[in-house]
Amino acid sequence: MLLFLVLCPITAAIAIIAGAPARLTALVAAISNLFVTLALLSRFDRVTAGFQFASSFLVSADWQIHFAFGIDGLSLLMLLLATIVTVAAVWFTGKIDNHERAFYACLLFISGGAIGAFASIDLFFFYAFHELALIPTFLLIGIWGTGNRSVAAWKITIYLTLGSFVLLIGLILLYQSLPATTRTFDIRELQAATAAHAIAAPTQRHIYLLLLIGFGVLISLFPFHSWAPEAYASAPAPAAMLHAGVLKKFGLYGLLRLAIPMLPDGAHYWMYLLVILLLGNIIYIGLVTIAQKRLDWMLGYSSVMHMGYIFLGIASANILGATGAAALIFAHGLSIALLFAVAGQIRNRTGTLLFDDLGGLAKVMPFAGLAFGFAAFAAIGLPGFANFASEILIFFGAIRNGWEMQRFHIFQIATVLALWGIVISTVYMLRAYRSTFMGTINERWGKLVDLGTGLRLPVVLLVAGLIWFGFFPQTLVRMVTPTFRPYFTATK
Amino acid sequence: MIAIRAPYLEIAVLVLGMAILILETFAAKIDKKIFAYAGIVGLAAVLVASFFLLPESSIPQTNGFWNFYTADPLSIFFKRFTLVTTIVVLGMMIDYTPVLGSVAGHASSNLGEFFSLPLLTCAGLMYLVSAIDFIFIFVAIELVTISFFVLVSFPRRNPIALEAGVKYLILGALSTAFLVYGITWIFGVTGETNLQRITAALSSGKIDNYGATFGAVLVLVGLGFKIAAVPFQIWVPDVYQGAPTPVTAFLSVGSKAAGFVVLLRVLQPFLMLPNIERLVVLIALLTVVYGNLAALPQNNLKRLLGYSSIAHAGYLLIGVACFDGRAVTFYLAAYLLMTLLAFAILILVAQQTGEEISNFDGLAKRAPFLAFAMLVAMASLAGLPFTAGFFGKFFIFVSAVAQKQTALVAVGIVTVACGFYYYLKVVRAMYWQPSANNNPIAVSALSRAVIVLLIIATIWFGIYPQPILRAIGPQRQRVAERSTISR
Amino acid sequence: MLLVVSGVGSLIHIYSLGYMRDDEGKSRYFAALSLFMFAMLGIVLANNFVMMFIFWELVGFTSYVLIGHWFERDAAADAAKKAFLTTRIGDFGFMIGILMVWMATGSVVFDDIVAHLSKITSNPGYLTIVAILIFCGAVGKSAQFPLHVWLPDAMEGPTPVSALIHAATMVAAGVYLLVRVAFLIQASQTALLVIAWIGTITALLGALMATQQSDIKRILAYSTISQLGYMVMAVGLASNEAAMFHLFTHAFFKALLFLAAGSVIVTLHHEQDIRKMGGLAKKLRITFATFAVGALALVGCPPFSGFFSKDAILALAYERNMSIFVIGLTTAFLTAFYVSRAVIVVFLGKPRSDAARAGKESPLVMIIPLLILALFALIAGWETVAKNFLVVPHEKESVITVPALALVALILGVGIATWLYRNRERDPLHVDLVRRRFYIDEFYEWLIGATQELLARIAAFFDRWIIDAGAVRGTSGGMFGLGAFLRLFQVGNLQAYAFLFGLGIVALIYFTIFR
Repeated sequence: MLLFLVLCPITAAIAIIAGAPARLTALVAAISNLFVTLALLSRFDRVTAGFQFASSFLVSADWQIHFAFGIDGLSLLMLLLATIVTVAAVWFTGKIDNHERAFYACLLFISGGAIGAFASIDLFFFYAFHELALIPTFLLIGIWGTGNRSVAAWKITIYLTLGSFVLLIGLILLYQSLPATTRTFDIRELQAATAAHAIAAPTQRHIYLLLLIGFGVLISLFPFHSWAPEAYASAPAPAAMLHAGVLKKFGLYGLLRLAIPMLPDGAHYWMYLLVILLLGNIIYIGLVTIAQKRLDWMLGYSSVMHMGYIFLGIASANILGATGAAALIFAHGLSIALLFAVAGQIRNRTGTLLFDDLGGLAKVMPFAGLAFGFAAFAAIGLPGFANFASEILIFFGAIRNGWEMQRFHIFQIATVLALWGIVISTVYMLRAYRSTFMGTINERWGKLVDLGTGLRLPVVLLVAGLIWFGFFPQTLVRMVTPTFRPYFTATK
Repeated sequence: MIAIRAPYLEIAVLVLGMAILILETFAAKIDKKIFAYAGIVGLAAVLVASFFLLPESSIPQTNGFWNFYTADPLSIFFKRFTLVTTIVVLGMMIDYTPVLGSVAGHASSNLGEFFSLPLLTCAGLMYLVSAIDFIFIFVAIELVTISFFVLVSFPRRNPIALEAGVKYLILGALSTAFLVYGITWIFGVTGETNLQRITAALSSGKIDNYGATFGAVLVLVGLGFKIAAVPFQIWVPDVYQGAPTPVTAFLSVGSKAAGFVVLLRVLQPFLMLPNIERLVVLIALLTVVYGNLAALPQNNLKRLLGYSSIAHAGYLLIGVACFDGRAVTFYLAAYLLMTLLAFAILILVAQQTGEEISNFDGLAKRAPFLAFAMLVAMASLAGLPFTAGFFGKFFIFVSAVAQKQTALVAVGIVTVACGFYYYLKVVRAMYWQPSANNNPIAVSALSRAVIVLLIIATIWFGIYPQPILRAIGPQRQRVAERSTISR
Repeated sequence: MLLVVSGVGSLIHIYSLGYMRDDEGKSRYFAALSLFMFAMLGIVLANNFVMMFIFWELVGFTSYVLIGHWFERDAAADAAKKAFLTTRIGDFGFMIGILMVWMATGSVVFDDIVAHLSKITSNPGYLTIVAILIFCGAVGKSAQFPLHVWLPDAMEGPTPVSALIHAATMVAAGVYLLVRVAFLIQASQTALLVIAWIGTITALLGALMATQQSDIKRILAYSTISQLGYMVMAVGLASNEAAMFHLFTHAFFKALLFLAAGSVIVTLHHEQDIRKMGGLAKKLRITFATFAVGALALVGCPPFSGFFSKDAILALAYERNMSIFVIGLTTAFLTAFYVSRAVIVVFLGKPRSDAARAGKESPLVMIIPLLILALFALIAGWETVAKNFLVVPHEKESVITVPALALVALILGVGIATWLYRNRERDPLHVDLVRRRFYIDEFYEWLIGATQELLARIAAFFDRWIIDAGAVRGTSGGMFGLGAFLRLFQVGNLQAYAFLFGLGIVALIYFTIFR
């Protein structure tokens, strides 16, 4: 079943290139993927740890590379995110004037790459599937983007390539840290091996640093974030939805799956560095976001900022934090997708996203205003949405770390600063909402059309996901916790 | 089961080549393309025959021929490699004939030579990959070089081609001179020209190290020219640009591969000498940096591919510096696929518009099939996963990491990113830029078949590299042990 | 508390039927109103910090929606944003406090924390910080100084909203929180002192600022701030009963005042400036009567409810902290002053505008809630009534002094106001400092500009030019430059090539053999 999940978007993309009707094929592929994921969800066993629905084909005997897939709670969550956002992204694609087929094909390749990476339990294909999305992103931004799209496309591609190759070296080192006879790329065996005999501490530190930087570039960790805002601002909305919502999470998934379980010493050693960098994400980028004067740039920077929270959860290295991080990955993916979707619709209709030009749009586009409002308040952590539940978990997880009553420790300071980051995010989000949707309406926009019924469905889908897990976070938590239980104590 | 002895393969190719040459003088009236097809068919037959060889161990090593010729798995693999290359090059030459006709300035009566020369070159390359004696290496190199010289300057009314040919000749002769000088030094120091016996002599420890090292450096000079390593790469851009495109492809793939095989063999004894290993690392670093950086500002695709071949030589040298012959071989196999693919498309597009990158503008609209093929080729050259090129780089990096060559790895990563830029420049031109004209490009059935095959092979081996790995050899072959003599 | 919320809430729902009859966004309004009730009841019923925080935030959100109901008006949009943001700042402190409690005791459930209280109380410094941080949440939500700035602006919302949220319920939530976690707060004397003083300052400031306002709703808003200050003062003086008592009575008379004001506003076609009113007592008889009842309760005139609850607090202050008592008494004087000013200017004298001349009484659906609330404003203070709802605080021996002093203050206030304002056309008092609300808003704006905006601009500049242009583009430019430089070697001249060739060989030989 997993194989179908992975191959479906890729085959659909090839079919579209070969001549199948573009939008129809893409929608069918995306929706069937969603149903398959829901089916997997229903048949998933929440109690046992370890990978389920596994399948494996040997690709290279010398190197022990397998074309292998399997899911556990964490990857199932990622797959759910990926399939939901794919449906939304494909649905939100409007009329494309040139190369319509290529557009949908590129979207599907990105989706397939992300799904393949999340479902893969072989280190090599985990990496390879993510790279599959590189050129489609390049093309999407370059051909159908707006603004300074050429520069944006180059920046994101070259920057991410550099990061990917640093990551590759880290993964190779990880592979080679096993004794020569038992070397394999299979994640299950790697986990078992590192659990039995931990890798030597100095090696762990090197590997972890490489993985941190490599994944960090892919996740736009400060200071490796420069590619993100311009790329997201210039990209067409569906591409931004998929990249910011899904593809960026690959790095976070990698850290949760690989770096923390297999390299505990390394994680501990570099903890302080990570905390400082993530504070850079939250506070520094938060401030930069406030200074933005365009909606798309603001959203781009805000997506960089929120990565800081997920990093905080990862850095705290306990079950609460890790679960919160996983949950926030999901929640943030949905909310940012919705935000970009509505922003893209506004751009289509008005041609501008400058705050000074917009205003009062909720009068003529009430549904869009509602959708954006939901997404915005979800993003700033309003209870009732999944983001709040995850952020709470992260804060509780982070603050306990290493506390003795008399002394302060960097995690407590970090948590306080991260909480202040919530205030910062409120500032810019509300300002954006106010400037875009509230206030006096410019006469130019008097005749704008609201989101049609067709587009309301994906909005409902995304909001439903946010609200469902906002009200019932337990479903999410119970799904994900077995993954982390072998590695963490409840709190350190 | 028929079992052939390995030397018959080259003899067959030589005979085929000469036959075509002779026939050409007598058949002035027929369409010369027949010869190309005949060459392809003949080579295909030889390729098939190569699967029915007697295993080496069963051949008694009695006569002197086997002192300088080997039929080990490495050489068999590369013989097949060369045959496939030549077949594809002949196919490209068929597509190129219209251009040649207009540029060569003479009647098409000499086209037969054009088609027969690759066969002779092929034989030379096949000898080269089997050579284990310095004299034989020299002879084979000369055969290859001279054939290439003629091929490069074949359009003799075209001054650019002539200039390229002259440069190739002079600089090639210069490098060969150093090669011979080095061989004599080695002979003087060790008293042997056979590589295995040289290895034995050097490890016995009774020889003068300085002398041997000097000789080794000079030999590497000669080889460095062939594989386009820094600082001997200076001829590459001009010659690649000036030569007829199929010849460029042949040079880029065939000559380089054979050169690397010889390098691998030759380093077996040499790595016992002090400092040679450092030298190889240094050359690898310089080459990979030079090739990638100098390619960044290029706007002519043929020249760009020239610089990129220097860059790929750099990556291969990283593999050599890390003693991983298997990685090098796989990389070369992948390199064959992607380079030939790129050149094949270049020929087709250049006929209509030209060789500049800007001539590729809007290719996605004009000729979507070719654009997609080029996309695959560029992706593989850059090193994107799911292409054979990625596996090549992957294996190289794995061995570099295993050998803890931090500088090589770090520089390698940066240069790969550079590579993405100039390869994707072509993709960008094809897909983003609007095109000047909208005429579709005609693609013959043969070319289409070849291109499709190359695309499939590139992607297939990007997912499932095992067939090539199995073909290279049963287990990992180390090139040599690290230097046993203290520095 | 539940009864207050649901009781006042339902009355306001009924009132809104009339007030919002012609509004376009009626469905949006009632949806948000119901959501607000949901969230408010959640706060009341929560048994642990996290639940309370969740509903706390939801209350803030629904208040945002309701304040910004007429979102096309810039003022309303800005007010909503300001409200949410200011309360969020308070919530920031609140959350840290919650986290610290959890860290020390391992639980967020109130009962569990009580059981493990010694873990926190053993460290007095920690305890104080926790208490003050939790108080931060109340400071935000209950509009205490210095986070009071959102409440007056929130008057941009429809008047029923102001009545419900900003008089009766939401702002009281802060006080409710403090009472709920009194076990924590009352363990720290320092925290209590801080709370008491902040409450006192707020009460004074609010009253002062109310004396110079010319918008009727804003007068009531500042009055709310001031009365909330009293409640917080009571909490700080360690008497939950007094605080809850005043909350209880205040809910009724303040809601009444707002709704009555709303009646006036609607009749005058949404005119809110008191300088354009006047002489409405004859035209809007019932409104005037109910407003007067509310006013009397607010100033603390016996036998209305406000007298009893305010007296309880003043008595507390007299007993426990004399300086607070003095300020509290002064505030009572000021309260009488501005309330009388409002009544006189709005209802007595001659009408000062056409709208005022044409005014007539409001429809029944708006009058009935007024009457009901007026009734409660009268009787809620009586012990026989109040003891059914809460614990009525009992005063100590100085039974006479405090009420006497309070009555003196009241009479003084009413008297001076009458003397100053009766039969005047213009406002005789013009204190700019007070009129401009002590320039607190301007100060905040400057502060935000000097810190957040400045930092944001610096950060953006740094990001755009140093990291992006400098590091990223610089690296790529450098690579390109190197590439172009290397290209220069290809001169095309064969002899040069041969020369470079030879040079390379020499270098290699040197490197290999002689190093």
